[in-house]
Amino acid sequence: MNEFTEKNLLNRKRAEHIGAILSNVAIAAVSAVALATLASIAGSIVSIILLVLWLGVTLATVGTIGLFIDSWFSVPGRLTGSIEFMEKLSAFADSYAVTLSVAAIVLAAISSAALFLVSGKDKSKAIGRAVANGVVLAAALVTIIKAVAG
Amino acid sequence: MNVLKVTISNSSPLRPVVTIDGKEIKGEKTGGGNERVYSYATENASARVRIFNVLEASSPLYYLMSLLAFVLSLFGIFDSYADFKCRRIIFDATVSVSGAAELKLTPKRQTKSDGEAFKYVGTQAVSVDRNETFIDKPAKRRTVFMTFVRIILFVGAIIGSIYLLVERF
Repeated sequence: MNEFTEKNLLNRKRAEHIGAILSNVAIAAVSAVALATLASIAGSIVSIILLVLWLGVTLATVGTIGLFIDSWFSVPGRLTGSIEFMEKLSAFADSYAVTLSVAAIVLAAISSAALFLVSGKDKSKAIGRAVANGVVLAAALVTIIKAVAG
Repeated sequence: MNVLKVTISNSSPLRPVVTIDGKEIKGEKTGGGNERVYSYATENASARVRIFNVLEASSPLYYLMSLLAFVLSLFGIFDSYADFKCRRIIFDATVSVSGAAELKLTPKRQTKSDGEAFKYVGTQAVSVDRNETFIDKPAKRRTVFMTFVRIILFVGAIIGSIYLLVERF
């Protein structure tokens, strides 16, 4: 049986280091897609709520609020512009979502393989990363299915 | 069959590897997670216990690996390298094992100076060849150098990215 030496441990540390980096990048890629999607949805929702509030205040004051606030009647235009911007952001996120998701899946798979291959007796690090990579895989798959179906 | 039980209390944050007769041994957590117990069964009358850690920066290949990690982690943003202290631990001893033997090790408080890695107590004869902890100076030099290089590369990458964005829009 081969003796476990410093050289074995050094190779293991290198693989763990690269595996951890790939896992971090995969998490970042999926997070970027999720954040862009959530930001566009949340932004649109906030704009619509503000628009409804504006309408409510205008109706309640029978439009007289426009006499006191000069830019009052330009608010809907700004909010509509904001919704259009969020739609553009969503389209931009969608155009890169599949690429980023595929990249995340590949990176997560390589990361898990590297960590398990070199983990030796103590698999705690590899298991921790495998859980994170599993979440990344699931999120990336959902994004790809959503893009293909949409 | 003789059984050797090696107990390490107050586990070192350096997470050294324990080998007995050249085989890597998996430790079991005990004492509320403060202790790790490594059990080993052998036919021999003695066993060689080695506890050691390594640093990526110990090898001259570290320059290349560090640059590879820098590129893969998108200019170091997603890197998780943590061996900046460059402290090594080496414990190498031969322990007599007749029946059930036990070796208890407690890591010594790490100060800036070099010294012994572990305080040890054995139920049977323990012949220690090496028991030291020290700062690996070549590794430290490499780490400091590469940290400096990576900071310069990172600043260059940020300036380059801003320039490209300004050129494009």
